[in-house]
Amino acid sequence: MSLFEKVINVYTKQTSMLLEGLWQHICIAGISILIASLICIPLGIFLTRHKKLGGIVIGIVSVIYTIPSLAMFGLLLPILGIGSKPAIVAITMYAMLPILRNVYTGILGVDATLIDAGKGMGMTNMQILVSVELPMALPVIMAGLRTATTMAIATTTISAFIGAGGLGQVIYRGVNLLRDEYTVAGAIPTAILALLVDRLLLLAEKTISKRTFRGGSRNGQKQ
Amino acid sequence: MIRIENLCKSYGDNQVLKDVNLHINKGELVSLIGPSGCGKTTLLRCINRLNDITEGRIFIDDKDSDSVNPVHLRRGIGYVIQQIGLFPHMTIRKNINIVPKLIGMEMNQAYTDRINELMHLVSLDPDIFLNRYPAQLSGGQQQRIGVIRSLAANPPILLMDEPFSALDPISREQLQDELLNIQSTMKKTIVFVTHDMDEAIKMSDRIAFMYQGKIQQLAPPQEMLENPANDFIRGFIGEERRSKNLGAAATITVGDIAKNHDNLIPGDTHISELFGSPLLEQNQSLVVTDKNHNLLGMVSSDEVKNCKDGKIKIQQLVSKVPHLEYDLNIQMANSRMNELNMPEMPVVDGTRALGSVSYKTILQAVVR
Repeated sequence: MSLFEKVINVYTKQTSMLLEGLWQHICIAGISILIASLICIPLGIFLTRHKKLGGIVIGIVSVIYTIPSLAMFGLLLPILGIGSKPAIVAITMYAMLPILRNVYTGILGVDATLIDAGKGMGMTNMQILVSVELPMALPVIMAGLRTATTMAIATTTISAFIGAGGLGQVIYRGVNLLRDEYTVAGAIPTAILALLVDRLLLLAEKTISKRTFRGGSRNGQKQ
Repeated sequence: MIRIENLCKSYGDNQVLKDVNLHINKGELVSLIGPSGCGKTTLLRCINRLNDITEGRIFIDDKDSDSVNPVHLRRGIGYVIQQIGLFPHMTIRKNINIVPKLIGMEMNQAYTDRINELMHLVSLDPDIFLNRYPAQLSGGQQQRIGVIRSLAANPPILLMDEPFSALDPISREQLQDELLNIQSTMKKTIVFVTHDMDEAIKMSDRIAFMYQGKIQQLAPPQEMLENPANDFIRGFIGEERRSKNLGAAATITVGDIAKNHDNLIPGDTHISELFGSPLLEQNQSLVVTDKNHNLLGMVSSDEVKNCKDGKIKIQQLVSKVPHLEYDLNIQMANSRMNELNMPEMPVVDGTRALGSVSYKTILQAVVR
């Protein structure tokens, strides 16, 4: 039996195990990104209003980002035990940097004259944030979210080492039992998932931007 | 309308405005001019409180601007900047509607009509342009929208910070003319920052020349050209521009101007015939004549508009005023008008009325 046939065999015989892994994988990565976004989008906005603090906070988050994931899991194990809990905490911490940094730089990168114009017309700070800064910074913020999501899906694979489940478990089993078909059978859906989610977010970003941004000449030529 | 009293503004130890006093009347266009760093933009931004005031007061409509919430204050003041600042993610229509929406203005038919009229005044077809995005417009078109956006909520005051400086010379000239055109119908109080003397001469009722944080001279354009208060202003204006403008003043006669400015009206015209006529709308004053085209006197358009009784004839409203002979050059005419304190005077050839001249028409003739 060739490797290809063996992999097909895994898919047909162990469908429920793979689907369960896939679902766990999506849950761990998804929950982590959700928590990271809920923390970092407001925090990023807050930091654009307090730039002195911004450098410090982003510095700290960057340091967290450089800790190797295995070391991070090792550090969290004695505190949170094994399972999906430490995995979610670790991945959330990793996802913070790309989201926070892109919210921060995205908003600070908005053309200052637009903010001046808004202020001059009598918009409040909140109105400027909602109807000028956030829409203008959206492409940058979405790019950060995409980086974070791809990274989260990849790191979730490693979290199988601490018993978090997910597709990493399938790969891990292949490695331990020296059965390559499991390794491959777990790796393929992981890669597809990462690419698919990345594409979906890109599509979402383009749809939102298209509705709110229309540079160039879509409605007739430039005069 | 705007009263600036003893205004000082410092950034740390750096004093950028030093005891500035300036009164701007309703319906007047005052330019702030001077070299870079003279404080003209800082002064402008103090009026709508984009800059805090270190010392002194600014009254708007006799109300201390310090006692008003700055956000509300700004909604009542139009603001146009050099970089235009249209929001690229909004259509032109949405950009224009920003302030009216902020103040909760009703977007009724009258509002739509007014915006369409403004669009026509700057020769942009509302049906085409309102649904476009800023990136689809040229720089000149964008700044036209910038001006309309500032006027959308119909504020009595307009602050303009070098609005036309970034445009090419042809667009700049067109926009200047269009703004003058808008100004002649809407009579806004406008503070206009510029570093271009020609622009200031063309646009302003009065020019405030600023240097080192102080207003060095405040005068109508013609007077500033004739009598610059100091050598710095003289140098800034430049001898060439002075002699060009003043030279023209020596050769143009009031007859030339009056001929191009037809506001004659027979004295037996009933007031009711005039209501809504272009003659009344486009002129400050009308020159009233008898059957043989002889001068009877002048009457202001406002007086005619305020007259309730449509049946009376216009000659009954006339006041007898001194007049100018057609061959007087405009320099002489200007000083005579100053002397008599009359902003507009009728012009005659013998006893026959030719029309009238005003500071504004004289100035336009000089700049042209």
